Amino acid sequence: MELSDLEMAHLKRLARLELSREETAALQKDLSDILGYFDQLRGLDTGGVEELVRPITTVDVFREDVIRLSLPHEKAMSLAVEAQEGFFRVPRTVEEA
Amino acid sequence: MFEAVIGLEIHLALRTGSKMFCGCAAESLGLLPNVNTCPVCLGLPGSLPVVNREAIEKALRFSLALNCQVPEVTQFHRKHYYYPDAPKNYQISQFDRPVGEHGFVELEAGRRIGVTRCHVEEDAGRSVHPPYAPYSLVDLNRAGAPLIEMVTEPDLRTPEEAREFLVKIRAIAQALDVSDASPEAGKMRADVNVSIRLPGEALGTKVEVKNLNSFKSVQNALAFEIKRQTDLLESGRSVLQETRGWNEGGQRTYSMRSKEETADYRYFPDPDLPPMRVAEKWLETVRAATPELPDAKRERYRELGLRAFDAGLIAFDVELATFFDRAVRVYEGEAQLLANWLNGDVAGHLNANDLALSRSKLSPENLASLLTLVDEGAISGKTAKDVLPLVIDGGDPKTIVEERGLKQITDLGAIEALVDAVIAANPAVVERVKENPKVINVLLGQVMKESRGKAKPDAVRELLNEKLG
Ligand SMILES: [Zn+2]
Repeated sequence: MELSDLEMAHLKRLARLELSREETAALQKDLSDILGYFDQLRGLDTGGVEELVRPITTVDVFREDVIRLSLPHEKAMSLAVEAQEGFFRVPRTVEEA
Repeated sequence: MFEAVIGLEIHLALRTGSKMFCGCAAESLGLLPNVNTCPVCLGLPGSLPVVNREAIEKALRFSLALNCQVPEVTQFHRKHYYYPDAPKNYQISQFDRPVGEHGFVELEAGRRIGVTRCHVEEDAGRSVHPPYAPYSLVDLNRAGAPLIEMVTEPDLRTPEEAREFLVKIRAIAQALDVSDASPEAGKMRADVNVSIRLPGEALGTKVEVKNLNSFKSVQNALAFEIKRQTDLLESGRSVLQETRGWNEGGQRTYSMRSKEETADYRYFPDPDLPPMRVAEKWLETVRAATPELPDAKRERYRELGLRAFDAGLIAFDVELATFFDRAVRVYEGEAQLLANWLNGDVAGHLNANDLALSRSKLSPENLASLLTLVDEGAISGKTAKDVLPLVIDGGDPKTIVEERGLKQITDLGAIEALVDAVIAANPAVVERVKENPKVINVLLGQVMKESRGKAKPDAVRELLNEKLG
């Protein structure tokens, strides 16, 4: 299964990845190989096999509804690339009305 | 004549203490930005979300109340998109196994509106866009707060029906203690899908309207959109499939013209969150903990003798219903009288003072006691209305009536003395009564004034008629 250039461009866009021509070509080949592997799996008769979403069998992990201390504000903001007035500052996301 | 085809997508903030997947407080109203965050809701690498059991339980309660089928296993998916208010670059939501599917809600007229699904998800943060600045500001206090999203089938036909549906959903969510469901406080948000068609024909092109934050705007936006689409089709043009916003000031929808590509969310089961089995035993606990639903309440109020209008008004307002239930327990008079006062004078006074019933000092016991004083003839209805503001401020009716000497004069001898005195003092009026019996009201008013409103008007009228008739 060969990943097309168009699909590759779409994936790069979805993942917000900026890749050089060489990197793109290498990744395109790797992803195509992986898809080829899945094609191989698709050829198997899995009619009687139950769907396995996760490789672990754990179920029902819950926490009780208890409020715990949040991070101190300075600590949360210490990760910010840009901050202002206690907010995270990001490139503008809407146009001026 | 075109008919509208309307579907709703409703988000309700779940009422829990902590967020959906971490221990930060779910409520952040009035807090400074970014004080309610932790590695989980900030989406820091290596953090592990853990499901808040209470949120799932409340979502199950809500789903069952909407007659949904609940799957044996429910699970979370990741929904991927990039936006600064979603710090993980995905939202934890549900996809193929939501907490509820294939439910319905019945409208007043008996029509069933299909509920496609109810699922649990985490809320996003809040963005602020200062005017003319080249940046936006992000507050992640709300990020990770628990939400229910419910989607209806396109079964609604008019803006009024859509509003009725929303009112009902709010009443159910409040009665079940699932959500505050207050659009004003941002605890209930609705998007609408609307198209028009000739009855019996295939569905028309649908338009989505977003950013509706009151029931009134939902109704108005739908009315506007139906008219706009009708005008387009009638003038031979066509409806464009798009997302539109609602301009509250201009009362019109506008094209959002987003360069939005077809959404490609790349859903997959969240590997951090194991599936949850909804065993019958758990559902039994949920059912047992489900309080009376608004429809059942209204039915019960009708049986108490309430008029349909009052029964509905009280049953669909959880605050009012709780108050009414307590008052009815101690009040021995007609339940309808209680409803009259609650929906009339009490509501009027509270509205005029912009006060919520729960925030006022009016107790159900005191309201019942005020009405009982009227029923026993101790005070007139007029006096009861006069002292109501004091009772709403927390005063005890009996004490107020006692201290202010407002008790009705029921002693006939005392009333007769007053009547005699007024007759003696107004010979000219008495003359006129002979020509026009209605003039007796002048004397009645005089007696009432002399008694400072405390004489029983019926008794006074009877005595006057007796003496002058
Ligand atoms: Zn947190």
